[in-house]
Amino acid sequence: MLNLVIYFPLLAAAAIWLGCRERGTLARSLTLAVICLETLILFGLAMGGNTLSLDAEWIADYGIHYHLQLDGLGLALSVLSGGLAVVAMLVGWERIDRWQAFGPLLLATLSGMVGLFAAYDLILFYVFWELMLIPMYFMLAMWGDPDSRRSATQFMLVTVTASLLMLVAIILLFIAHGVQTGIYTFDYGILKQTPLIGNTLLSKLILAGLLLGFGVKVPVFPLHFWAPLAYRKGDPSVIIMLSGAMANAGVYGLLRFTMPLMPEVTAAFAPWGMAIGAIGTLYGAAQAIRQEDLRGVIAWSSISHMNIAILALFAWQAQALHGMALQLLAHGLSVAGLFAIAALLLDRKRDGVYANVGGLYAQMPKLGMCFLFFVVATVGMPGLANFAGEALILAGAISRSILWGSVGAVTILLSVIYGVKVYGKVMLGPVNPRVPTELWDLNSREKAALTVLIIAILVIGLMPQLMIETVHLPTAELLAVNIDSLFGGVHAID
Amino acid sequence: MTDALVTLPMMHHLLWLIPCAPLLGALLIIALDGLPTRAYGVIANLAVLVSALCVALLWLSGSWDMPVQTAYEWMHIDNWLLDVGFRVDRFTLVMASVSAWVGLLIHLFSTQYMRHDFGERRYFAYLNLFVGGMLLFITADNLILLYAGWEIMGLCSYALVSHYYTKDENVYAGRKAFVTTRIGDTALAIGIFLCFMQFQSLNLESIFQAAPQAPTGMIAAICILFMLGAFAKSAQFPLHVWLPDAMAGPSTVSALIHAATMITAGVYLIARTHVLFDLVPDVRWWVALVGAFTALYASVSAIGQNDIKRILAYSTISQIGYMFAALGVGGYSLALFHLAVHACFKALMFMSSGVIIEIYHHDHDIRNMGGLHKQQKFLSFAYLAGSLALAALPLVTASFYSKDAIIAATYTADHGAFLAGLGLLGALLTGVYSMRMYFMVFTGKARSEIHDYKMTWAMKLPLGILALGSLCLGFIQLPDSWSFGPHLLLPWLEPVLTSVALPEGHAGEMLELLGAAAAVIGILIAWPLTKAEVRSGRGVGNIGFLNKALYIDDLAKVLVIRPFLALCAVLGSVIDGLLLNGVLVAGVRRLMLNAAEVVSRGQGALVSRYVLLMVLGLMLIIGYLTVQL
Repeated sequence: MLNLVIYFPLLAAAAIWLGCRERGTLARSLTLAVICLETLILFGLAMGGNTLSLDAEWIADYGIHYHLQLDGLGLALSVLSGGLAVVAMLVGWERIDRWQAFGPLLLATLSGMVGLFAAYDLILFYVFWELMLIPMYFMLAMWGDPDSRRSATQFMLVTVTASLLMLVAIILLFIAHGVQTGIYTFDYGILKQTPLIGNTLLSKLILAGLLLGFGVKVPVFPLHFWAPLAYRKGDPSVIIMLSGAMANAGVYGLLRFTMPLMPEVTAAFAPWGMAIGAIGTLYGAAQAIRQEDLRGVIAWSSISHMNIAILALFAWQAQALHGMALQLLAHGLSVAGLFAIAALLLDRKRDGVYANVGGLYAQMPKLGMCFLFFVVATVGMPGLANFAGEALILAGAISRSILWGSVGAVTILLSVIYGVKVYGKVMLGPVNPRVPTELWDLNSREKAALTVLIIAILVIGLMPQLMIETVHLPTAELLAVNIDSLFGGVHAID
Repeated sequence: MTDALVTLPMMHHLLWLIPCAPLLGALLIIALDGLPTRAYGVIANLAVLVSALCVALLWLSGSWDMPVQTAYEWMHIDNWLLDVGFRVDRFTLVMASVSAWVGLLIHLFSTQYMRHDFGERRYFAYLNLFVGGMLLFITADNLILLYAGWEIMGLCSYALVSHYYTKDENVYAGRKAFVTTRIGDTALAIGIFLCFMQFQSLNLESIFQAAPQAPTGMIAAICILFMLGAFAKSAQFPLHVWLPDAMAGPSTVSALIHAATMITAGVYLIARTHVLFDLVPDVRWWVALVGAFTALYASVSAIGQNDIKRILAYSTISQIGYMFAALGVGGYSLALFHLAVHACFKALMFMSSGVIIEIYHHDHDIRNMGGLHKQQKFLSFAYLAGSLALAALPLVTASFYSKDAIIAATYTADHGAFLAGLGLLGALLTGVYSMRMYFMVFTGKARSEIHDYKMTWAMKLPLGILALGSLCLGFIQLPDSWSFGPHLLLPWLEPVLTSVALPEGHAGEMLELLGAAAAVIGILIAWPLTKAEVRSGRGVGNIGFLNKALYIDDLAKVLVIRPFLALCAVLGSVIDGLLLNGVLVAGVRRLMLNAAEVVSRGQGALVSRYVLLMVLGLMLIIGYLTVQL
């Protein structure tokens, strides 16, 4: 079963690629069918509530296992990735050309994501990580604004460098663990039984490598420099995957591989991590305020919200970590909603630059209402998903550090500034004379895509307990690494 | 009193209906597409009616001693035991009655007032959501749910203030309202998280029980944060700047914001958490100071306004200032009393002002009005009742009983003479601006064309009821020093909401007389002032310093908004522009290009080759590993 959910999209990708060379519409339909099926299977597994696992020897010489384990957290994130892929397809239905190429790439990326959420071996994880990234480069470069190639190039260079650092860190970890215990293995299950002891130079280097490798993907402040341009120039459908689903992989990696594998050095770093998260959150929000176009605002807002997750991660505390899981889902859904709106505007030949929009609500009230809903979700309105995540994170972070928790909480104010500003500039105000008069409101395909997101945001917001229970076991297991017991008061910087 | 008129054991299972009926109403209005426009108004009215009836049933069944209902588990993680739960006590019940019933009257009035207006369906959806948010805030039994209601109101204020969204200034006004109040929301949120950190609980009752054992510093921090939240939401100086601009929305929205919902939420918040504030009287005193100062400041500003709705806006800021003054000296139930009275006359005046503005063809300037009394007798009498209540005419209006008690109460605090002095001066000016407004609109000759406007019962009934309330509500609670007449409200509230002993003897009598005199003198000044203004065409509204409300808003633009935006820009240019993209990215690119030139290949091919190599490498690794397998 586990192999099926991971490789099914990949195999389908190969089949579609080979079978539909000239038939774009067929490829499109098949891709959608595959992704829907995949998502439904994953959703069913998530509802079942069981952890799936599979362990086999792979390369015994180097202690590499073919070890897969998909728990509640991984399942939740996988379902999110699948769902977002559906949304990305629906909002790119007409705009994206060459589906015979785009479809397989999307499927391959999805395969990589599900694989890495399931990987329980560091090398296996790395393989899936690359599998996720490479199709993304092509999607970024070949679809999107005419000048998107440059930002895609930058994305690739940064990503490759980061991956390399990550690989080096993984190998160093393998060696360090071997030296410490005599067991040379990449198997995560074995590694976490005997975490690295001590705050040595080597462990610091490993941590730094992992932080850089995963942090770029999140993107953690100040490793975010590639993101605004890439998010703004890429096709919104691609960016839905990149910012909504793939960014989660970075946080997921940090969550799994830092604190549990080397608690002491990570605990020593935790106060700095919280500071980075809090400052990054505010910095992202402050930059979102000064953007002059819709996609720029969403890009920075996404950076801001992912840095809250980093704040939560390094708070390493019950409420914060549960909140983080909710935040990853909520951010994925709401940022996908916003980029979906950007995509729909692009379909209507509106690029979202303030100078070219304004007063669109009069022509498209339904689209406007959906837009407002996603804005309101993003700013953390209670009853919607993001609030559940952020409230838990901030409560947990403040319990850990009043200073950084409070600094992070200022995002409550800043988010609303850019949120209502971008909504007002695009949808409200006098009708911009440059706007054509025959814009159509949502059609049924677009309604379907947005409704999926809206319902998901409402359900998680009103009944977060469902999600909390799904992710509770893995989170509790992670929390077994008790930061309080390490280094007495290292984390207490306030 | 405690004997139930009807026994309804079911009532505590229906608490959820009080906030949720309007929330569901809003959902229905959004979800049901294609109904005739009138139907949305009907749905909205029915939804609030359900809430109002539930509140009435609570009164009838006498269940005001803490019925609690837990609807479901919201988020449970370790000690974070958060439920969607509701709770009602005597204080809540009074507050919920004000919100639900005044809200219902405003809904009823809106059905005619907004007909053939603009965006009716959207209007009613938000109106319902607004009342629902307030009732959620009032009945919540934990801090997070309370915060949820508080935030929903912020959103609704945004949407309704910018209801006429085709004008940029209206959109800006809505944004300003949302953002300014969010400053307070942020403070409140941090306060709530500190509460959780300290008490490991979010439930109001358990926090109140544990509070006396908590360190004073922490309680003080929490109270200061709550106080900031309340100031922003209730438009107290200097966070009041959003309220005058919020007049951009329909007048009925102003009525709702000022009387039944949002603005009063700050007062409710502090009264609700008064157990904490009682532990730190020093912090609480600042509430009184800001309140008393705001009462005076806003009445000074109100005198200089010519826009009828802006006069009313400043009058609200001022009246809420009195309530905060009462809270700050520990007179919680006095604040609640004045809140209820204020809700009556302010809803009345705002709804009437909407009609007045329509009659004068959407001109807000009172200098262009006049002579309306002859045309609209009913409106005139209703507005007179409201204006006199605002001015607190002694004996016959309700706010004489509620406001003068507050002024007397402030006298008992530290520096009480100073606080009471601010209050008295404010009361004097209130008489002036309130009656200037009335005289300018209704007396004399018409200074511009008066359009016909026929009010139906759906408009007259709410105005009539509110006018009656503005005059008579005070009679339920005559001053303590009067041995005769009813003293119903404050003693009944005593178990949950206390007050302070008012000054007795000469000081008390003196304050009573001064308060009454201030109102009367103010009203008497207004008449010659108005006559002179009409005759000469120039008056207090021409004084720029007053008209601009002491330039506080402009000062905020220069001192806060511009530096903040500049800071964002500088940070962005330095960190992203210069350091990351300038030095790092450009440097790396130069290195790469040089390297590429060395190999003497085109730069465009670089990445493709890179990726190709990576794919190949990956395939090799996988292939190798598979072979090994």
